[in-house]
Amino acid sequence: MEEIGIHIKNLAKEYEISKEGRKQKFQALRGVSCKIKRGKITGIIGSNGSGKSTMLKILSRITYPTSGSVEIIGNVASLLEVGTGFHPELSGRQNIFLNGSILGMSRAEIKSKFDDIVSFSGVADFIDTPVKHYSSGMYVRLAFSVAANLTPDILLVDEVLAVGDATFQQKCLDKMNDASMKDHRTVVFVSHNMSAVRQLCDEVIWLKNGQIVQIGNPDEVTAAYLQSMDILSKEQPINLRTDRKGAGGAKITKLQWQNQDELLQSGLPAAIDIEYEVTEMQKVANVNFRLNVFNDNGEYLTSLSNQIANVPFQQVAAKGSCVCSFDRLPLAEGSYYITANLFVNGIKCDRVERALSFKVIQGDYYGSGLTNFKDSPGIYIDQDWKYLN
Amino acid sequence: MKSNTKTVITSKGSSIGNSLLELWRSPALIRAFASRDLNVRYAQTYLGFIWSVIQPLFGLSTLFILFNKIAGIPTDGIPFLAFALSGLIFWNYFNYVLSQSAGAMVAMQAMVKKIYLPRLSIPTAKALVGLVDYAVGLLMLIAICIYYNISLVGMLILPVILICTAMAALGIGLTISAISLRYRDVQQIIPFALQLLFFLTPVAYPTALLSSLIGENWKWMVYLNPIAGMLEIFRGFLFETPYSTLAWGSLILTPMLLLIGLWSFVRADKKMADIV
Repeated sequence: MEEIGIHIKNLAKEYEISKEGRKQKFQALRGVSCKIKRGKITGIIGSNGSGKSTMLKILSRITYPTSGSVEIIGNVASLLEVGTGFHPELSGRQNIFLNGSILGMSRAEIKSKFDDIVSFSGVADFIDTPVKHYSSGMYVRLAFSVAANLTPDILLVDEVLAVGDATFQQKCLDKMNDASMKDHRTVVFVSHNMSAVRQLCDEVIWLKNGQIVQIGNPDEVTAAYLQSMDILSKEQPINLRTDRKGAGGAKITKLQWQNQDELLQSGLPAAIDIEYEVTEMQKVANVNFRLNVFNDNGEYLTSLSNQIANVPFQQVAAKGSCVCSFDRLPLAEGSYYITANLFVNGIKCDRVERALSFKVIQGDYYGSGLTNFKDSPGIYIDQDWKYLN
Repeated sequence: MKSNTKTVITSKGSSIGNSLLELWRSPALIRAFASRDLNVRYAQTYLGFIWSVIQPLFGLSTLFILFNKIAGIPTDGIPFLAFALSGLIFWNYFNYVLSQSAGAMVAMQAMVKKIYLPRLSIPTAKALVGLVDYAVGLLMLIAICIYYNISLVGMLILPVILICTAMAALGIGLTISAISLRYRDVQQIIPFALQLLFFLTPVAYPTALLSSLIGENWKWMVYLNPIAGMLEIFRGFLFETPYSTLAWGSLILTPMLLLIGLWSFVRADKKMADIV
């Protein structure tokens, strides 16, 4: 029988929020019950407002539940945000001791791990410099290194992987993996990054509106979750979406592939039709679209932008349309989605997440009869090869 | 390595006992907070630690000019500098710990929202940091006593008075900190209240002056101010002057203040992350 690390029983949390001057109750968690296995990595996924952060806050004792209980076996350390308590005037060395103590390490423990922390962070040369002189990258690396060298029985992690460059992120993922595999620690990992969740977790909990939708195998749960997100955006064309972010004043009113009844295929011509409308601005100049392309693991691939492509739309009407076309579609077989942004006069007026989801079928991009070797969705890159000697 | 301690989280929150136990178990954290404050304190100043010496000297000179030279208030035949400094070091400590612990929670809100830590460690660390200035003042007092040929035997009572001062300051500070989670207004009142209390506290004048002002029947009211009684007892021991038995009442009041502070703080602690 597998050991239980965290036993959550009928957990509920209610917040009081003021909306339009009146006080309202908001149910962040509505009776969540589950058992988190000891020595395994459990992922928690869900859209914003699903209650996953509240759950982590309760597990880390930052806030108390309204009802229900949690039983935790072993000591807990949480990485809800790295670098908590870092003081800009203190040196890297002093901050390691301060942050380590805040995270619950004893002085002797910090001393014994000091060298590991410093070498993991890669800021050894600046360790006696006040951290206010650090670049933001150095700051984050040092902060994560302290946290990564913690040795609690249970580690709670929230979106830490959103920081740092790709190499450092991979280092962090490996470290978390080690914590579970080698040291048999329980890790609870909240993330939006589905590929990290799949890569790391043994089990995944999907939360929605404060309740559990599904618990189980990471591949199955993340697939079901992503599918539910796709349905959401497929059902609603961009002009009907109300969950917009950005300053407002202008919006994208159309975003779709031309010839919708044909399938998109790698290497064949394709084009996206875009329409926009500026409503609240006197002067319209410099209309800039930025379409960020993600694969269905939630990994960012590339951006499509008239500005990047050096086609500025300077003097244009308040309402208009444009097209972004490809001679040969450089996307490999798989599912993708686009998060669309519209900038007018340099202001981000409109942002729609998952504005367009689509599938691409296999095609012969290079005209060689071969495709990318990895089966995960990605990009084809034009390349020249020459044999020299 | 693997611990089997079981933590149960429910809607009830923590108790005073649990909070104190956790505090006891985290000396490293208290030390870290205290050394951070000390390290940061004189960062980017030219004189650095010397400020800790200048500040009490400046305070003492002000009192000397104001109370001794201008007002000419007698100090029970004790040299004014020794008399005033013996009160000033306790007052400064009380003032520092109270105002720091009262504001600590709001100042630390970013941290409190993001991470769990024994929250009592924050004000406790402030009480330790205040000891540095206290020690500087104490050394000055000892030097002055030696200069005036005052015996230092009476200093034996000092630990008792110091602990009581800390209890009173923390008790009031924690209560204010709990209230200020919801009503920031109290933060605004603290500086005025402390200034008023300073003049109502026999720091640079003897208690007798105050009690003669309000009359013998109301004399006990003076001792509702815990610092008043504590100063009278400390001076009684150090300068071998008589002190009122009522002064002991001030001392007994301090653990009660601390209890009230702990109670309100732990109660507020439960809602801390949701409010601040």
